Amino acid sequence: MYYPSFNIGIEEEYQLIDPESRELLGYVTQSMAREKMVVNERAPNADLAKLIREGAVAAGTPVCVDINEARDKLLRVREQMLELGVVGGFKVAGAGTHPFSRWEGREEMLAQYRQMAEDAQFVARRILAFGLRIHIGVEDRDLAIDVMNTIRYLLPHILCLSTSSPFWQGRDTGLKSYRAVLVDSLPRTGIPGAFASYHDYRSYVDTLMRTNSIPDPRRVMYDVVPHYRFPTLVIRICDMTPSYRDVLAITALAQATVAWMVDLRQRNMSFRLYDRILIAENKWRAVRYGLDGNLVDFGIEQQLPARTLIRELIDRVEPMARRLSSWHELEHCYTILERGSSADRQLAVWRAHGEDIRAVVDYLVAETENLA
Amino acid sequence: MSERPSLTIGIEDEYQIIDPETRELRSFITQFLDGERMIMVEREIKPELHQAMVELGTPVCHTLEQARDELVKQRRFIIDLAAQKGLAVAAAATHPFSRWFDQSVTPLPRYQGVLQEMQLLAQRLLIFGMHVHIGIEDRAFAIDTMNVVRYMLPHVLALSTSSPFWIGRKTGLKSYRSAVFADFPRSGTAEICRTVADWDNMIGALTRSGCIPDGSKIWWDCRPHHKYPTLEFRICDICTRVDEAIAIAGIFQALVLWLWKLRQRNITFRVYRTELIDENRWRAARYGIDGKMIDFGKTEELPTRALVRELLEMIGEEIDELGIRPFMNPIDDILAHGAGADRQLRVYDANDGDIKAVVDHLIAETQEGL
Repeated sequence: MYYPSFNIGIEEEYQLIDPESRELLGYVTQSMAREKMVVNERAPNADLAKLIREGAVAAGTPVCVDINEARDKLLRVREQMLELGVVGGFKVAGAGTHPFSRWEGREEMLAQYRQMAEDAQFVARRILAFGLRIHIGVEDRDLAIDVMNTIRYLLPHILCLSTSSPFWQGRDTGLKSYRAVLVDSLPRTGIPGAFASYHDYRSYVDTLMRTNSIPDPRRVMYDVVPHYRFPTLVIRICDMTPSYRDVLAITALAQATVAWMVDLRQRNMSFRLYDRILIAENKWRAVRYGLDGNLVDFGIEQQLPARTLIRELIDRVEPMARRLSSWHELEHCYTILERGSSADRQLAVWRAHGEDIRAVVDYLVAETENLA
Repeated sequence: MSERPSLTIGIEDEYQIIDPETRELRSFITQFLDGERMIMVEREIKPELHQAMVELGTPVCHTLEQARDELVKQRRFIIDLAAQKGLAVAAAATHPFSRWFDQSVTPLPRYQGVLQEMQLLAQRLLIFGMHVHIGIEDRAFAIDTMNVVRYMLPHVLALSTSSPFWIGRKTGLKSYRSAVFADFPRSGTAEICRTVADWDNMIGALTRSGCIPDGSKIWWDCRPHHKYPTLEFRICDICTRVDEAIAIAGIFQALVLWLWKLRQRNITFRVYRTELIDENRWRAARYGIDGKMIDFGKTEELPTRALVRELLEMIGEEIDELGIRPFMNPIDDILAHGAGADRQLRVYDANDGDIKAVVDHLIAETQEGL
């Protein structure tokens, strides 16, 4: 085993918003490809699509050595998006779902999912769901699988901080991350099972490919997976959040947690492996209540407030964060705990404006555009 | 080794109550509620979360023939009871067009509790299943069976599919119920439990930590029942025709006997990863019997129909031993002419997309064979 780089890559998804109607015009996803970040636009409007395609300059190499570099890259990409918005007449918002847009008549936007739409039909058509994907460099593939197995337990805690999709098609869903429900209705999503080794994982993926279940390994979309091409572990459980500070804090927490798992391993220890059904229990609680609910501490078999358990996680990984020079970003998680996740704030705005859903979109845009 | 399991059969059905004029789902159960108690009618009706849904269960039956008699009686009973109120009954896993957000929730504290806990997801859960209990007294064998029988459940789901529509739209799936139910925690393919202790530990951890009151809240496709000495198969869409329901119950019964006999010979079916079984489960929900499923032994895609035939051959001896061959004809019929979902789609197309015609078809077909 050789020591991981803990490099960082962040893939954000942005919603393009009509400033008048506040409707969703399209969306932009980023994905790590080759040596640079590629911006994919999925806008139904051809002019808009062209603008974004030509306007989005490659943001440089996607791999960042630490959170400080990641911060610079993230801000540059967001600034670019805002500039394109000025030219193209759209606003930019980051959230797990659009508060009220409906999927009807928007099938073309789902080009990315065209193949999937054929496979998954009605289920995929519901997927106007926007996530935040965090890559952490763990070059040794077997070590990556080891971390993947153990970190599963802590993913619901991280999800709580990112919840930002309480609304769907204009309705208060009663959940904090409706995006998670949407995504998890597709095949090969959710909390993965444990794998014995990288070989074990690959043989699972190869079986799927050999049997034409999937055309390529990208279709395996569990909440944490080793990237099919890059030597990274991809954490994809999180909702996209409007505030860039939240994105960085959550990324720093994910990175430090990965480092904690590796640190335990170096000391011949391991975080305990729990059954998927138990971890899924906590994921459900994160989806339903976000920061306001209880999560189960399965070590002591007790429910405790999510905030308490997240604070405990932060305490545990603080030494790693200090070593990775990320504490100044990770610390912001405390602010999220105090003021609530984006979902909580969206609900507060909605109530404060007499349940005006458009006010929520305005809030999301303002929060996303705030790069201070 | 324990004695042969009793292989008793119990069937629970969830029915839709329909207004024959509008063809919409119609609140029904409150008419039989007196405060929090059910007014006694001659059978036990279980209220469900949605007022337009009623669940009825047969008593424990010792043979498939008896199960058929009981299921027929049960369906006649609910049809008559509904008819007295000018209503009709349909057995299908989704209503073709009624909208979940228009439905009333049964005003009992426990359903208000479910609604509070599950929010919009509970409201969306307007789906109707069939649960088949097979008597297995030895818990160790029940857990053993759960692990291996997971493999065959998608094949059976394909035969039962009856939910191609949702809120008036063709979903492209044959069992949209499966997709809706997937939103719920603790649903889907069962996890592997190596021993009874594994199962007990899991339930223990969930109950001690206050996640669930007992094992009744594990909604897997197959589970040992928390009270009865049965393995409960929950994967199926409710079958519109009573004879299809009985044939499927017969498959479950023969499967358990087959596995028990294998066990006597120190043989077991292979246990595959949950993720792989989910792949076939997805294909069954998406394509029903029209698609391909994967034979993981050969690592090869094969037409679902061929795999279902293979399954029936595999348990052929047990079907004969149980004397249930005469009840298996509907399976041939499904393989030749399609499952309930396929018939609904044909009616829809034949009537130029008139979704109400599908409801009429369901009401009529629910009465077939009674």
